[in-house]
Amino acid sequence: MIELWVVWTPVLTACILLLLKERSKMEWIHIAGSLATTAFSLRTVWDVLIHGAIESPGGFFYVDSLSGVVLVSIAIVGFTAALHSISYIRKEIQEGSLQYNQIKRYYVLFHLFIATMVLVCMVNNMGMLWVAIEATTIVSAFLVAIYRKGEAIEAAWKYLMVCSAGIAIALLGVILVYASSVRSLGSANEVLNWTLLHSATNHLDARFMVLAFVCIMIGFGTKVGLAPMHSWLPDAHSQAPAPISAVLSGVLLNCAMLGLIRFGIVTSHAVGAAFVQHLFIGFGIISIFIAIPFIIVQQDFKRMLAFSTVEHMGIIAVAIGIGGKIGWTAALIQMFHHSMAKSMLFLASGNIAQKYHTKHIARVSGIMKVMPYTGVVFLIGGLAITGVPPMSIFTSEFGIITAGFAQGHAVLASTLVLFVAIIFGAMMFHMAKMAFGEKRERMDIGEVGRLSTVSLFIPLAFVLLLGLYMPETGQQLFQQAMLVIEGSGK
Amino acid sequence: MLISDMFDVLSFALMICSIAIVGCQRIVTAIRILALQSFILGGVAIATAYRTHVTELYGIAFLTILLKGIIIPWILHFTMRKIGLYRQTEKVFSREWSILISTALLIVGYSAIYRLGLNDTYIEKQYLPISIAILLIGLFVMMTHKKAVMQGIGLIVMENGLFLTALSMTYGMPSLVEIGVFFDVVVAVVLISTLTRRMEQMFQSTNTDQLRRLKG
Repeated sequence: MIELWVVWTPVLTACILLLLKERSKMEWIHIAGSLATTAFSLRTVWDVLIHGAIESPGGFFYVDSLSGVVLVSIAIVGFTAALHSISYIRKEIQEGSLQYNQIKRYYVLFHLFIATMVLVCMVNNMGMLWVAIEATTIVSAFLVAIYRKGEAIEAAWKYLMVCSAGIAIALLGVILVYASSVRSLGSANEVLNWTLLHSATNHLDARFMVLAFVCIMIGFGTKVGLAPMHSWLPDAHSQAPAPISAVLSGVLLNCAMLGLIRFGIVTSHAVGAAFVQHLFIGFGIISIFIAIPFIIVQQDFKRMLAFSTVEHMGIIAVAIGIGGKIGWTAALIQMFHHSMAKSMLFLASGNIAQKYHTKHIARVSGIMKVMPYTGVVFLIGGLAITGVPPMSIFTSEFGIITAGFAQGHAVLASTLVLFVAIIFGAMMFHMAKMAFGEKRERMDIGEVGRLSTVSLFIPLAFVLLLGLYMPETGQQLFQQAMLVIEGSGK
Repeated sequence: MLISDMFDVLSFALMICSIAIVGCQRIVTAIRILALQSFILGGVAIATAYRTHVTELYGIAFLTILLKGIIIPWILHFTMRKIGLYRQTEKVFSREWSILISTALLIVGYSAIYRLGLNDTYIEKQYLPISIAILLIGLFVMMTHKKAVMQGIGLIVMENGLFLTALSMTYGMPSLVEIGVFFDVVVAVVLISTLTRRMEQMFQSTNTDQLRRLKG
């Protein structure tokens, strides 16, 4: 049972780490565990690609190509962040920002965090999906609060309060779905299972499902970072250690989005697609709009990246709302490409913050001269995240806009182009200022650490290559996942 | 006593507890009332199990009393002991206004459920409006209280409201999900306790008005 190992490997790694005492041993186990988790995840997705959706005996686990897309990004970003962590943590110890017991806590929680996200992708029961998403919040809030600083505590507290209250509203939605499902299918543990819900949806009570989906949209929308419930996101993402920011922004939000999409599919079968799509488009476009002023006047580069994440989650939501074969495929590709580009940027920004000892945009200049590799990656990441051709995000954004025009949302698509163009200008203005210019005096040239440089190249490869060429298997995965959203695939 | 009378008494007690938490002057009192509310919730679960013959509910009732009635209040009490027991609550609105607003939320609960037009079973009719009101009161506590622990208590009151919603609509969620939710709540409370103690160390205060540095 390969799919069981995907969940158990990170849990097991965390347990072993808990017993270890030496830092070097912890690092080895950390990397080995992360590598194993990645291998098992990719293997599972491969199996899904070849044999179709996998359901474990008893029906507790279920992986289809839709969760496969998210699982692949967890595998890649998780491993990259794990690699980066080692250098990052060593540097933090050197600087005296982290103590020994905090390192241990960091590594243990890192793997538990990965485990909860993998669980989100793999559970069949939609109630357990809620439990897993709430678990990701709690575990990652511990990680956000790892630094003993006022700002870190503030960010963690806001994160915990806003997301828990939001997600409590989502639980009300889940209860309503369950109530509706129980009424038509009878009382049993399985009636919340995805495999049952998405096939028997026509019997669900439309009146309940409307209310349920509004609750779920608000609740999971909070976790995805859709405006106006996004207030926790810039705080948490800017205060967490860089590798954690990369995972938070890169894949955690995708996990929440997966939950939203799953409930969206069930609801659109019961009450019609228009209702669900309008909600997605509405929240999406507001999120993109809200991000603009914050990116323009931003002074903190990690916060700037966080607001860019709000923007991208908005774009993905709009794409799901637009729908159609092209819209859905583009939404999924955008999810994956955003994971790659944004995690790369957060890791690079971690290197910059450790080198310059500041997160102020104004105090950073000449990265290209000080850290040539990080500088180049940071600049390429900037171009990629704003959707410049031939980088990967250009392809998916182009697809979304094409789908918008094709589906008759001309005004929406034009607005989207305008917003993306403004954000491109603002982000490039800030990032070019940081990358070029004179280096500060008394600044020695060189990267922070070998692993923190090497880890940047994994996402970089995806960002550069996938824009030009998407391999057959990748296309197949996105195609099949699109069919799941459409309601005809597995 | 008839079982339906018993339900009336319990629902009345749940309402009073929620409003009492809103009006509390000392945080420790709020924790005690929270424990009492969770015990009553356990009682509702037992009464529902007795009436509907859903045996799983006995286990859920036991877990509710153990986790929400004993362990969570203990953790919160432990936190208060660390940071000083005699802390007053601080809220945006005065005590009188808070109580008035929370009774208004109760009316919102009733009118919202009335509009949904459900009156299938006795339990549902009795508890659904109250559960929605408890959910809203929990949210109200989170939004208007300034002390970190009280915001945490608001979160648990919200969870209690959700538990009651599930209980009255479908006689509880699937037991596996219910256990998962309990687990999440307990870990969240541990985190709330940790962060509160650290806030006290850092700012010599647990007033969340201190948390004003991150902007823009």
